[in-house]
Amino acid sequence: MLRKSLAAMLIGSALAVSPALSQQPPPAFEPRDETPEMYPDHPNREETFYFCIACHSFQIVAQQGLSRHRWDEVLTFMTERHKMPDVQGDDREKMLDYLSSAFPERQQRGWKNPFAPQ
Amino acid sequence: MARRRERSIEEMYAEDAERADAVAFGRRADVSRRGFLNGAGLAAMSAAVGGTIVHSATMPGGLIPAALAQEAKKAPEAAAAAKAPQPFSFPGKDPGLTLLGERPLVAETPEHLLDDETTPFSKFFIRNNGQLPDPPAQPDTWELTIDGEVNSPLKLTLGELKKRFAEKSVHAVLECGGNGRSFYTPSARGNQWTNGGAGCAKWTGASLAEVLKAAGPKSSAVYTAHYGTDQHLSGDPKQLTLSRGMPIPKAMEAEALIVWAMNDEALPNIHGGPLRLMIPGWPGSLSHKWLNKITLRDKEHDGPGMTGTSYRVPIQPMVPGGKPDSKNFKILESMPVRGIVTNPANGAKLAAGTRELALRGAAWAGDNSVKAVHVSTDFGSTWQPTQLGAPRNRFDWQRWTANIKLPSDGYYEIWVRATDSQDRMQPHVAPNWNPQGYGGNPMHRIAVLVG
Ligand code: HEC
Repeated sequence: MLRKSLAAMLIGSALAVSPALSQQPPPAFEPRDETPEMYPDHPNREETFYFCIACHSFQIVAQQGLSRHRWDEVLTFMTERHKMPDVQGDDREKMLDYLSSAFPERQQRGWKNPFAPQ
Repeated sequence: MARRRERSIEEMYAEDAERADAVAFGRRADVSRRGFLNGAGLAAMSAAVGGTIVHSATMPGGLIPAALAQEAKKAPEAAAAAKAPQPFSFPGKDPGLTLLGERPLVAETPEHLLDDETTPFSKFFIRNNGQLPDPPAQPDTWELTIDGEVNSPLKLTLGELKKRFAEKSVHAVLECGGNGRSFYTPSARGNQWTNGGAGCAKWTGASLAEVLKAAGPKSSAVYTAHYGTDQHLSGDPKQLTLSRGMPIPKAMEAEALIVWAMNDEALPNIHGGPLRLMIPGWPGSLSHKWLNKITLRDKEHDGPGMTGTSYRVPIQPMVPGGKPDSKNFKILESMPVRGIVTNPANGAKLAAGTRELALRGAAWAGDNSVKAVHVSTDFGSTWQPTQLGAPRNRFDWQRWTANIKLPSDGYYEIWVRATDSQDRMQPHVAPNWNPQGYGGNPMHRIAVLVG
């Protein structure tokens, strides 16, 4: 199961930041909570969401529009550069299923139509 | 800042809960934008852009009007999930900034908010790579180390730095290395900046060259390496968020500063205060925030952000979307020339009968200056020069103005094209595709409607 097998890794990284935080002054900026429901509903959404938000908001994921092959490169980059736990086999395929169907390669971006019919 | 979420993940997995607490904040990701009409004829296109396309005769076939330039494809489910863009909110910042992500906090400045000669704090873009450090209680005790290939390593507090070195100010553009990334097709990986990962502030601090000289660089010193205190997003204290560097000659330029003030105020925490580098002309990642160490090296730096395809561009153009060959990549140094219209805003509606329009904008060109800025209202068939101002100092942006004619009511696109002092012009489309989208400087286009 994707969720079960990833849980241990995630708890590991979560614990790394939790000690001794309670005495600190309030942080300079507190990001708002995100939930999986904010993102396109495709299979494996929850698993992918909770796996990725161990480090950053899902917003950076949802900003992308990539082919499956380039999503695969993103996962490799996350592991090589940012020490994301390596995910292989079935679990990787499930994550790629979600990412490439929820955030597929898009053609033209970066400019929004100010006069688009509503 | 990542605490709450970390705890909820921990709880969730420890208890094997079905999902985290589904408290909706009414926020939705901007995962899809409105679709694009297929095979529209001119009439349909005019209807779609909301007015007659006045210069339709010179509009090249197959060119998507600026007002329609958006995803041609979309996932229907994504469209259903798309809601209003997430609002941006940060103390003292203009809510008109575009939020790209909250953890890490990243927001860009829409072009029309870059209309000031000097970008105020409220409108300055935000780019963080790690966790935002809490501000120190006593900024003057902040410590900076200079070590590595030097004869006498230095450890200075900010207070000492201010006393020992002459204060110097420059007006300079700070620009994210990925500015313009969203213009690449197929899309490039990373924060989807339009042109707003840039701003021009007044930076005050000590000359980096003077500080480095005080440490006595050895002849073996060829490259810098920069370090700051922001923690990696994973929370692992052993991992560096980012550490980039530059060849010594760049570090020795007169305008390279160790900065403690922005626009005559103490450097704000969100912009790297109390101490950061300002290395104008090159990707913003060199202008390290929360700076606490500069190491001089006897070879090119290899920290996170220096290798692979990060902050690098292809030497020989690669097939867009293809597999990159890392041997074909070189470090992105000077940022490319870029011009923007800052007034009017994209989407401005002008009163019927308006026949003339005053334009304002800015242009900058990394290490170079801007030689000319031209504007076109007929999709690039003809161009008219603008009145281009001089920079206040090297690395300042240059403001420009122009008056254009609007022969009749209808839909117009205004394109702007800057040319740098080496005669390089902005291209039509983001050039030299690379997987992380560096160097994207296509012409800025805005659309206005008369009547
Ligand atoms: C161990 C921590 C960690 C995990 C887990 C993680 N990431 Fe990241 N990711 C990072 C860091 C650090 C960055 C860089 C953030 C920055 O500089 O703004 C990043 C950046 C990104 C980016 C932007 C890429 C770029 O080139 O700037 C994407 C896309 C991304 N992550 C996708 C994912 C996806 C998808 C997942 C889940 C499958 C994931 N990440 C899980 C640490 C992580």
